[in-house]
Amino acid sequence: MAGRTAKQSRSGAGNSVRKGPTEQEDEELPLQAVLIADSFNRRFFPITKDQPRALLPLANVSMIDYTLEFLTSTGVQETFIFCCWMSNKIKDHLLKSKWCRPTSPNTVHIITSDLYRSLGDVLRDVDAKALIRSDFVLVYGDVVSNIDVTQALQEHRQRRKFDKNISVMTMIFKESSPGHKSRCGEDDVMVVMDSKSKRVLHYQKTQGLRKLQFPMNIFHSGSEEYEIRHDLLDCHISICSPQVAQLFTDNFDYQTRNDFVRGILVNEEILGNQIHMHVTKDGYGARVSNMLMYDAVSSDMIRRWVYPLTPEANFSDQEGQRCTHSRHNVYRGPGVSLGHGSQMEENVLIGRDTSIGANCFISNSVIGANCSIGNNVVLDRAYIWSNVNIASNVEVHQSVICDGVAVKEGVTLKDQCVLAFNVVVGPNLTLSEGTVVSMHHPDEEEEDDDDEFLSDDAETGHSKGVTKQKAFNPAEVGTEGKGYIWRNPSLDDTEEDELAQCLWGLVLNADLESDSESEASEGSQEPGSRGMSPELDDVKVFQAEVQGTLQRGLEENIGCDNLVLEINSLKYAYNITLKEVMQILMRVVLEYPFYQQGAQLTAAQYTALLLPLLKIWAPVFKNYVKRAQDHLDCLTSMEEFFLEHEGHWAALVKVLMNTYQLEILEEDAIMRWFSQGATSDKSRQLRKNQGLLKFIQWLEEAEESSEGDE
Amino acid sequence: MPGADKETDLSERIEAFLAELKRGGSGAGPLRGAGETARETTALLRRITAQARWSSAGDLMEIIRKEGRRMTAAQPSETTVGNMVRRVLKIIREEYARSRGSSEEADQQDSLHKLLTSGGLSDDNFRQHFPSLKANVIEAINELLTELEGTTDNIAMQALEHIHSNEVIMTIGRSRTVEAFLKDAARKRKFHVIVAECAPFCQGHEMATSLSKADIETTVIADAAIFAVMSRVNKVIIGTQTVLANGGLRAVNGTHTLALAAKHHSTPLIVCAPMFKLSPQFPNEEDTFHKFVSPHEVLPFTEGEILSKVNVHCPVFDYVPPELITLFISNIGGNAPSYIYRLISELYHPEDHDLRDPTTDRHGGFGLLRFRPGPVHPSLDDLVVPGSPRSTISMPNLVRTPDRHSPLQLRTPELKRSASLSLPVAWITGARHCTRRMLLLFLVILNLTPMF
Amino acid sequence: MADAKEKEEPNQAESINHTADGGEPKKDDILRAKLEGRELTKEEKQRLRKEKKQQKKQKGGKEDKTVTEHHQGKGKKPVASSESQTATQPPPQKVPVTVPSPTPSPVQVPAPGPTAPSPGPTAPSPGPTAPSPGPTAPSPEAPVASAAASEKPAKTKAELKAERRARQEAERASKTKKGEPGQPSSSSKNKAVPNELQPVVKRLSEHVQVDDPAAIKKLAKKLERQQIPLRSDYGYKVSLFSHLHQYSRKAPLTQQISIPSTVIHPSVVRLGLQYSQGIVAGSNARSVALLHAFKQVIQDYTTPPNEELSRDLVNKLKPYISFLNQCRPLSASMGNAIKYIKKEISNIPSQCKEEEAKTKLLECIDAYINEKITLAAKVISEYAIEKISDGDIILIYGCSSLVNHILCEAFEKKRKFRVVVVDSRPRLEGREALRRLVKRGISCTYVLISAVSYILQEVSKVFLGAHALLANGYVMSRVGTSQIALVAKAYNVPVLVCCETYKFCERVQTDSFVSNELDDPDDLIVTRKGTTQLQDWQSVKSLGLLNLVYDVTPPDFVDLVITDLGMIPCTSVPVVLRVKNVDQ
Repeated sequence: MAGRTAKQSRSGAGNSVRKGPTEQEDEELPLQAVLIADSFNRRFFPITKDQPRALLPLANVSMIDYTLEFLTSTGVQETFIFCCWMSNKIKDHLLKSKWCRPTSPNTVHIITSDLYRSLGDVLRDVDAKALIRSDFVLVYGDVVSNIDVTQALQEHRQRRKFDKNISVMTMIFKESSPGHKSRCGEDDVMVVMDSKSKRVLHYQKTQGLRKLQFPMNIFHSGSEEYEIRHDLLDCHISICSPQVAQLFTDNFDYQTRNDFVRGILVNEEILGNQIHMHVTKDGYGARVSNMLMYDAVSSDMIRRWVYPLTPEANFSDQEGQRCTHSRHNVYRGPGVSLGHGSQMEENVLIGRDTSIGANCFISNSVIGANCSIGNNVVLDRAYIWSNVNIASNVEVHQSVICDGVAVKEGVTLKDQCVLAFNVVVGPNLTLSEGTVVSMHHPDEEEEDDDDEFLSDDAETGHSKGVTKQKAFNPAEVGTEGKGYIWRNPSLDDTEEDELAQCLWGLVLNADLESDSESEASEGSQEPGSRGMSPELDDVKVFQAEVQGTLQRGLEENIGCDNLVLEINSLKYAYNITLKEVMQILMRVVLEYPFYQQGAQLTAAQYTALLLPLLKIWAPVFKNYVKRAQDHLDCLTSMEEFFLEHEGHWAALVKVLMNTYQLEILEEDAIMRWFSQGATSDKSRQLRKNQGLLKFIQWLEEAEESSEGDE
Repeated sequence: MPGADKETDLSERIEAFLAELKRGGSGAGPLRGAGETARETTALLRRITAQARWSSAGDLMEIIRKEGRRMTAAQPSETTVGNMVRRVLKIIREEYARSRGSSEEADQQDSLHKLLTSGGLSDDNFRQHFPSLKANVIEAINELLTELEGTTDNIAMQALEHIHSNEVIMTIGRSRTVEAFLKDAARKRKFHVIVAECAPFCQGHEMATSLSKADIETTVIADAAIFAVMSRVNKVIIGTQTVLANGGLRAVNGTHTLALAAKHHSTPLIVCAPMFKLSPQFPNEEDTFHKFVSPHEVLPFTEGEILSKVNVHCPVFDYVPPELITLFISNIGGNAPSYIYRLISELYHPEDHDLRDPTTDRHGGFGLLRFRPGPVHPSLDDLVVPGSPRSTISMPNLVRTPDRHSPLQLRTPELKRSASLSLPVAWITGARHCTRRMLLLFLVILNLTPMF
Repeated sequence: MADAKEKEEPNQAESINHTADGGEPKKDDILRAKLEGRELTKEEKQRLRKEKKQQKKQKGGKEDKTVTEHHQGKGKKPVASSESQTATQPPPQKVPVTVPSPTPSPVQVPAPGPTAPSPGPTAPSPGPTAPSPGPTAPSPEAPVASAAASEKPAKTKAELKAERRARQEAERASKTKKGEPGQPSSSSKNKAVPNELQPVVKRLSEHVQVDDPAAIKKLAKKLERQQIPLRSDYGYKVSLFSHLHQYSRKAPLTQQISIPSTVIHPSVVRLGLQYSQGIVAGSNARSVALLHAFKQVIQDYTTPPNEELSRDLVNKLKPYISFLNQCRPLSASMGNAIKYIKKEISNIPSQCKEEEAKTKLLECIDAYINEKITLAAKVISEYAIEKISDGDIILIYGCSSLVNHILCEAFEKKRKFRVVVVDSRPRLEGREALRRLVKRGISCTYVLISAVSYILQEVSKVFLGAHALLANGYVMSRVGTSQIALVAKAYNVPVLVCCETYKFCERVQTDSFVSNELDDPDDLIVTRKGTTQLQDWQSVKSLGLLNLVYDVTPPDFVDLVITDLGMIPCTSVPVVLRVKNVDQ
């Protein structure tokens, strides 16, 4: 039935451009799409604590509706929507929307699971469930576009016909010169393509790179013309062959599409798969991957760049969404009332039943439904969602104000502020740039962290249970204010920006988000790790996390069992083997004093610092160190550590002693380690160490004596 | 097939059609000719009449009005849809009246009194059930369809009456009607056509190529050259998207300039518009008059950073005031702009002028709206300069009250009376039977009937 | 309108980036072409007059020859002079080609030499040389011979007189005012110098009488004489405009024939190409470029022995101007500039030293650029800013360097206004204007001309640039300007035209047909959604593309003209012209 309607809807399209192709299309299998209603990162934190990103309103319509509309209009007849975080919310929304009406030409299947951690997982699941029958369109739930992919699809199919499994994916790019505001700084890409076959030879995110390198071999691949393009905007729309799913299954390390593309390109020779691209001049396509993009895309929406997906089109068919469009791109929903002397400069969208006071000045802003705005309010590039209450004499610049927020008299929001759901600020307060206020206390993070990784959407609700209610700080949010400023006053400024940035996505690289987040949440991590290279491997991250965890444990003396819990979760997160866990744990503990006091500690100071820590964390170790092998692992890592810090060999003995006394390590394990294990001559030297020898001796004696006792 | 299935099938079709309309015109103006839209709409309405469940004319009208409302909402700029809905409603009324024995004009005769007493369609009538009604209505709709099929030819037929040999004719953009019109004339006469390309969509190019294929000597000019060239043009023939109730046009943008230029050189401006483009809508800049497509058409995305700082507008339609228009050529002959209101009163029943359900889309006090202060000119816009009288003047335009367009404030009650010369029926139903010629004659008489 | 790209030095800088090749070389180019255009026209006039006189004064056949020789010499001198070392080489080689008859040839060789040749040998020359044009026409140097041929009958002692006379006229003429290449001092004369009442043959500039074969032949001849390739028209021409040239940008003048630097100074060649490619566009830009080119020319100029700078330089510039005219018809502003230079040159006393003469000329040119263009712009913006009040919404069309300058000045002066930039295919110059304004931080709206009637409802003033102001008060400007003015009138929006007085010209014109310019029709072709409708318009014989460049705006659409002399109504243009004549 979907098929039939779709056919009608298109044969209706008379002499429209895409008629020809789609007709044949109908003979083939109906076009399918995989829509991932989950971003697997925490860019929109803390907003996304209460609302999955796909449902965040953009120009008063949930993002996912744009995506679905895009898919439908481009001829998709069956869409699989994968939700993870807050899947129920998304589900409810969709069930209410027109997409699930029987008449919808695009049948929607919603598949939810909390296990998805990345695009990779989803596609693996797609493969497992064998949902895909033919080529399909792959998009995220936060893509806004009106591109007609039909042509790209045709090209793709041609290629596949021509040689079956060579071309696996066609990425869709939009031409837009650098510096264009809706080019997301983060996924600025540099693409090398074969200008004839449109084949992608090299694909690289330029963000944060000083200089670019291109592997020589791509230029040997035998075509005479190459294009190296930086004028492309990645729409995050890709047409995939069925085997894409399989490929994901085959390679577990593919998490993001980025991984996939790189993977394919790198071992092109081996797998013989190719990726192609389609560059479109007209049409609009962008992914709302952070707040800046949210800003950019919203304003493009208001300026009608995404026509026919304009606010007044009310494509999502919701009652009361209708609004009228008049000069200077001013959109008014029904029941809007304006006070005298209020000016709508330009590019303003005002939702249903919103009332605006007198002498307001509004420009480039979006105001949701049922808001009430006082007098003499200045709104510039403000994005105000529904049911917001703004008192008089308020100024808002380039900020986002979520549902149910109340802004009291005389509040001023500087650029890039975010007021998450139901926050109250003011009166008479000025929030500096990049302030983020949320009803959730930043510390909830820690609890969240354990079972949730890079995904805001994996933000588990039950953390609220653990939330310890802290008093709001009137200095921060005003006397009547409710909510926590999302930054730790103790942190230095760079830290604050860090948070604002990861929301507004200025410099951070997608891969970096994970630990930038953890930084943001878990107070003072040494600034060192911030600069880390994009590809810091899991072990490093894990170590950093563990270290952070322990530290926090120390500061807020969290019970060791909790620490263990966290560490475990981290272990799963970065799938670390138990062995590594132990080694890293040991290493972290041993390094700990250096973190605190810097590396120039004398052995004496070091031990002085370390020993108490060992005492505290003994249970943690005990929890992990059980089998004999574990002991050895610990020891080896301990050895490694000390080999690195020759200066502190003296401490080694003390440490061993302690661990022994704390019954973290058993003597025979130590003995065994001592007897064997000497691999390098350096370690042999180590064993020559006086103190150590003494210690061993002492152990042996102790042994004998104990035997003697019997 | 079973009723339920029919129902779903029907609703699917409707949905499809709506979606179609919504996405319609994402490129150069309307994707398909208005004629096509009109036919599709009518066909769909016929389907509804046939398949939907209704017992009395009243229900049917309700259903159709409801669907019609959705269709018009889907693509407000496509006025033809609304027009066809109105036509069908009218048909139903007539058929109902006929089958009830009393002829349409009978209840129009006392209309004035009736309107005052029972505002709107008095529900008591239209309630009776006539088994034959369905068949009649469908049959009438079929006739309407056949009429629609014929429109373009009917217009083209008149070409030779308006184009003499080797004159220079200017047109703008692409109108299928005008195309047919000129080609028809070209069979007998030699003349030179100048086509304004009509940026950014440049439908003019399409027009020019197709004309030149019918070897009419054709010249493409840029929009900027319209005035420069106008002095040598001795007729301007254009199509339009809608003919408004006041005889004005809602035509592809650039037309207003063209019309002004023609006026300046007092060159006659002829508009080829089939009847189904007549709309009871009045010009005002409220919600749906203008239609803006993506700025991308005007300023490419590749322009880069400056885009974020520039406002780019790409309106699709222009308003052309009636005083600039010399003549309308419709499928029933030529008329002066001043006569349009009359045709409309015959085409549609006053009740149907406003399809909207006032309750669904009410508007706030737009009178209070303030835009960027800018000068305001005595033209239709709701720009309001603080402290300018306009704010009050433009109010009525803006605030949509339920009783707007309601019979009470109908344009002059006399209208109704003269309508009671049974002419409307004569030509709506009769037009298809009597030949065009005598129909014209008919209208001439109509013209003469005094309007007081 | 569309005084695009560069205007005065400051602008030039930014303009360079979108000008193909840098300003420096261009500048001097420009200077050259200028004198020429003026010169041409006058020279022809002389010929006409001389022909008339021919009948009456029928004597001194001998002198004729000598004169002609002189003339020929003159004709060739530039060759000799401009490329100094190999001066003498060309003639010898050429001769055999040109002149079949043995006798004259040896004599003709010395002809270029300093001394005038003896009458004897040359006497028969008509015989042999006469045929020469026929066979040798194509050969590169044929022009010389043919030139000789064509002028033989003409040149008499009387002719010399005539020439002198003509020069005085010209001086007066150019004194009177800067006219326009189209109908030069002849027209100006009977205006400015009423005492000369005998009717003058009003000469149309050849580029508006393409449909007249005679005119074409004449043009071809002249070009041949000056060794300048004739540019061929391109594509089907709309019947109404068959009297105008229509060139293709893809076939620039120098493509097939290489122009020897002996004939045309390289800088002028470059300038010519920049004109024809539209790299230098907009009347201000073009004039400035021209003046600079001529400066270059003058610097490189050396007066050949026993020649008079004032006369020789002028003659030398003739081919340059007709070359530039081939590349793109001269604009009014250029015409005036050329007139000016020509006047300056001919003003130079014969006894004056070459060096100081040249320096004097260069100074004159700089002065001209400075006061007529740079300062004028300043003054105009002074006036114009008074007309811009806070909260104004100003509509501009295309890219007029003057209007841009005004707006930027006003913005500097902290006026609060927004700008609506109206643009039109195919040139889309408005985008350039938009970029410049936005760069300055002025808030802009951008629409195409078809949307003008929509946007005008919010506009409070219309500022337009001009290509030239005609004596009958019509404004000649980028096509579309009149349309804007029309609609503005309909909406009762005041229309202000900004124009420097050096763009005023004598010509009168009431429609956009008589004298206009046709640009490359291919520009109209556009590709949308992968389909190009007009792809093969050439093959369809009934299909024509018309790409007009200018149109004229009737004065009743224009409320005010802002000039460097103040704000005046259109209708008082002739008055201004008169005044200028008087005070010069």
